[in-house]
Amino acid sequence: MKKGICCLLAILLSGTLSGCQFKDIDKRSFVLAIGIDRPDDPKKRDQFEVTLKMGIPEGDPTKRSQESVVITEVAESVPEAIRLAKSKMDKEVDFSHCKALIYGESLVRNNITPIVDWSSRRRDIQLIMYCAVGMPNAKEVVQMQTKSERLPGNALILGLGKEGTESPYIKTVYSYDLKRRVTERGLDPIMPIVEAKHPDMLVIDKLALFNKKKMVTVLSPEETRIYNLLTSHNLRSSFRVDAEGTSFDYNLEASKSRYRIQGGKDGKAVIQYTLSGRAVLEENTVGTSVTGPVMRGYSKAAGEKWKKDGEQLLKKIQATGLDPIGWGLRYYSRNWNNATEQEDWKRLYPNLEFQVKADMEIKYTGMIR
Amino acid sequence: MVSSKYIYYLFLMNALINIINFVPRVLVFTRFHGALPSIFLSTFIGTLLFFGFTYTIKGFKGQGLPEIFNATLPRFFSFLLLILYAFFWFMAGIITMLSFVDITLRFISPDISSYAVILGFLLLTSICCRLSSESILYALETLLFLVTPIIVYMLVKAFINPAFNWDAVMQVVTFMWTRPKYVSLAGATFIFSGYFNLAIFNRNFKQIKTRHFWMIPVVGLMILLVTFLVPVGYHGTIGVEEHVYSWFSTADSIRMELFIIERVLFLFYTTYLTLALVSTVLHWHVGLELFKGAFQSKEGKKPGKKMDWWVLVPFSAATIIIMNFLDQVRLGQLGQWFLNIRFLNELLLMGVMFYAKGRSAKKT
Amino acid sequence: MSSKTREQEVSWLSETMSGQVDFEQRMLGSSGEIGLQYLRSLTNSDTISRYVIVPGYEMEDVKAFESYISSFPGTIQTGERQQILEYVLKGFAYIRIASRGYLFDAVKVESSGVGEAVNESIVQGPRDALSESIEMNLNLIRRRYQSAALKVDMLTLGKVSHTSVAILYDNDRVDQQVLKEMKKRIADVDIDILQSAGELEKYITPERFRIFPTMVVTERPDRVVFNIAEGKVAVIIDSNGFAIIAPVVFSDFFTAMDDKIQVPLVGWFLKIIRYIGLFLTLTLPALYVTFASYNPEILKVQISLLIAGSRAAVPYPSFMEVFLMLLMMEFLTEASLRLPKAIGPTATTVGGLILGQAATQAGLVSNIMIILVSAVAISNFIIPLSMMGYTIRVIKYGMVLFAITFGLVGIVVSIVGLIMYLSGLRSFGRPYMKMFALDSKVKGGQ
Repeated sequence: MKKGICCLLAILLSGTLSGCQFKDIDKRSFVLAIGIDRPDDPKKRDQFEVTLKMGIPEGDPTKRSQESVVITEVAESVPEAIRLAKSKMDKEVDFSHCKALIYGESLVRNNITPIVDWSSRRRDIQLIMYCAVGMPNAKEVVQMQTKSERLPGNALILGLGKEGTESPYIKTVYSYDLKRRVTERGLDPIMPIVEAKHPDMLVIDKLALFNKKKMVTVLSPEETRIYNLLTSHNLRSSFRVDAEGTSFDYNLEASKSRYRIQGGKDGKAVIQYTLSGRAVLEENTVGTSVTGPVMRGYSKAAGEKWKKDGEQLLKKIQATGLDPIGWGLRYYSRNWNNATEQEDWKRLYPNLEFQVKADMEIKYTGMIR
Repeated sequence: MVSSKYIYYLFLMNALINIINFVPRVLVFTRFHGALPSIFLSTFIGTLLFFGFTYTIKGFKGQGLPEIFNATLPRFFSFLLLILYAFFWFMAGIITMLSFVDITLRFISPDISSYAVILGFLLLTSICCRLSSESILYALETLLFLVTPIIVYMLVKAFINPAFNWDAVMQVVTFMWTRPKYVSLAGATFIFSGYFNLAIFNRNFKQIKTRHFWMIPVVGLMILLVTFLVPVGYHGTIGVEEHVYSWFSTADSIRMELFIIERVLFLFYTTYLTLALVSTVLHWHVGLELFKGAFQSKEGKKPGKKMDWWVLVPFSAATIIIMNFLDQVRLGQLGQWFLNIRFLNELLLMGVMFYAKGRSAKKT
Repeated sequence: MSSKTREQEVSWLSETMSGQVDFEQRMLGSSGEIGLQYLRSLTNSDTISRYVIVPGYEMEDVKAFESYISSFPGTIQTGERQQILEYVLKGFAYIRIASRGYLFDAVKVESSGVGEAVNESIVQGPRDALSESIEMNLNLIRRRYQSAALKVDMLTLGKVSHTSVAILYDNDRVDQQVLKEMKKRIADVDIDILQSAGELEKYITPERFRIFPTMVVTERPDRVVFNIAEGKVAVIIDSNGFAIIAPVVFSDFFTAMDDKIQVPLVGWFLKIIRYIGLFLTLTLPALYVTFASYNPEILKVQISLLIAGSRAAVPYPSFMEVFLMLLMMEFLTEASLRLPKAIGPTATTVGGLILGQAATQAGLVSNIMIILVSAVAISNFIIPLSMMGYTIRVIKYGMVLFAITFGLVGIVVSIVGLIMYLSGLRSFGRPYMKMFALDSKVKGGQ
């Protein structure tokens, strides 16, 4: 009994120690998305413009959409701007639910490293936060309130992730992935690009390629899709093929992509991609009935197109000198001469050759022949 | 009296808790300079130590280290050794606790006072480590059974994530043929040192049967590789070094899409807090019993139960004082020093045990 | 023995009993050499008149009557005053023939008969509950356990109540250590009045601060039989329809007798459900405090905003809300328990529905809190044995307390502490909580 009382006393004692931390959930406002730009003002070009989008808890959860508050602050560093923003809010600003960090175009063309460092250093910012480039600037993207969203910032979050739309033009990049790519040897950062289209739309269909510090080039929607095809499994997409009088659409059901680096001993290396896919015919423009031979012909045409597009994209990437897919890392990991492999790769990279082998099979014609 | 499967629980406990005790930290630091060969070497050495200790202590049925030492060694030496090992095992508990206080402040509640957290931990461990050895073994079993499925789930989740970069893992594997370092070796053998708890728990074993002994090296090696390589797969060969608690950052990088909790981090934190508490209780229990054993008379008369608090209160106070002195960097250094000395200490223990075995064989 | 001492004996008993309204004293036989004394309220008057009074007149010979009386199975020949008094108070008739005294069994049993189990009701399976009479209970158990190994040790407890207590066990399977311990503890009990199994349970538990019950108190004969077959010891008490079973393990409190009857899959499912219920009822209020006040980042955004939204109007901190609603729920449970059956449901409706609805609308409590409290209450009722249910009901507050002071850390610390505490408990020297308790039982029984 005495022991029990002692324990109770000890708990209460430590309770007084921790009392200051007790902050109810309705006294906090959750930042759901952050946008970071360089200010337009030419005098403040090296400062940061931070935009916070916060969800305000509403009394009635059945109400259709919840209000959000957007605060923009300009300061010399991001933490400074947040400190300024805090004094504008009546509630504690809480970053623990921040799901998206938008890098403004102006920032991306300059230097992203301080922001990457800040966001992975802070304990309350998740490492599974989505990162993206905002165009024309991060502020407009963060501010955008689309009609379909019930939760503040939800459209952005669902768009960048995979729970909502599964668009083939979107490459999801998490914060930890970005951080890894910034530091890793032989793997360079990428980020999807979010464009704000007025009045209320967010378009995500491009991919930005970075060197370790800033954005170098942008892949077009079509290239982004091929990029996704090359780097992921089971891409959900439909493709259109126009070839030799036939033109048709097919829908990819399953896809697979592998690559290996051949050679390298004699100063020349070939990267061989093997793509395979299974698809359903979705539209046949010509109007003839699709028989077995026709279907096989279509399959071949589709494969040819993949091969052409793929090699084109790979060449484009090589021309920028970047390594978003991680060929370098793959080369290092398969070579045991750790002392010299980086030098070797530096020499190999400009002369890389690409081969894409596409095994495309249209297996079903759909409900009609 | 308990069956000998509990030896494996003791092993598993230490093996799982390594993440808190700075083992991944040293392995990651030396990933290009001998971490991987150290892992393989330590599997060999660890298994050998494990086998050697169980083999020697098997001869002393129902006796703990204090009984063995007091009977076979000169009084002065046995006293000194027991006090040394008691300190040592208390230190193991203290490091686990301090490390977890730091993790709590870092990841869970940044504003909470560190004194409140450490007070909670100390209260629990001080009260629980006075339970009987048997009770602690039962609790260990129950908690391991609750926790292990969650850990397995998280591991599976970690491996099936497409963002897991096997190339980075392979890149680290290519640094296989480097010279192993003492620090990484000392760190990696930590996961095998669960056997040391037998020093006290041997009192409760009917007989020590080591069936399925091959499981020790296999499981140990697997745990070591996972400990070392999964963070590399998530943070890259270079980036992994930048994360202070690489495993907690790794857990934060895994997502559970279809659950009310989205971040695996919290699941990970909860399971490891559970493990850390049990491990601390285990270590402190052994430490306490060794301490009391040092003051044990030749006839085996033990100091009374009231004595416990004369040991526990100073150690608790010491924990708080040490916490005051440490920052993140110094804590890491302390953890590393502990690992380094521990390895030497275990080798010493091995020698003493064989000596004791020889002595007792001569006597009879 | 001279007739004078005989007279003394009679007068001694009547003196002791003087003033008792129901004390009967008769002389039988033509010459009145047979004395009959008994307590009318405890004896069956039919038995007395049919088997004692009528033959007493019909038989010519006193000797023949004496051998007739002593031939009854329950009859005891004695001259000891203490024993006579004890048995008369039990309902025996004291018959004095010539110089010898006989105690004649004419006990009237007023019992409620075999009823249906109400506290541990089940869907299928036997419905009998233990009755208020020890004989009947022995009958119920013997009928279900037809083995010569089933031993019954009878003894009497209570200086005033003289309650008979029976210790039942299977001689072949019982853990002798436990049996010895149980006998010792029962023998050490020193009380005046013993009326219920719960009371006895309290007295034979070692005096120590304890939270969890270390013995099962049950009203089901099938549970008693099942446990005896497992090598446990059961104790039943006269005038109380409950039995004590020891030693027990933690999981015994989560076994309903239904589990044996169901298909194994269903049985497992039910068991798992109960443990989930246990976990929920213990942690939900504490988790709510944590989520609402310490770590809102744990849950998904949507849920966090939902909680925040429904809490927006609540004017006090989350733990006040939790305590307030939990207390209301306890009041409601207690009230509906004690109220007459006719009013009970009304109270529940008024309290549960109207109060809950109004409280949220007034903004005193959040919607989610109401859901949570009902979930906690319901999952608490899942625990089959009410003793454990009560314990869990109390412990939950401790968890909330820990959550208030330490947040998530506090919850984990308290769960680990709880498991440690449970592992440290012993029920009659046997571990209280242990994985694979069944295995060790087989080994221990050898």
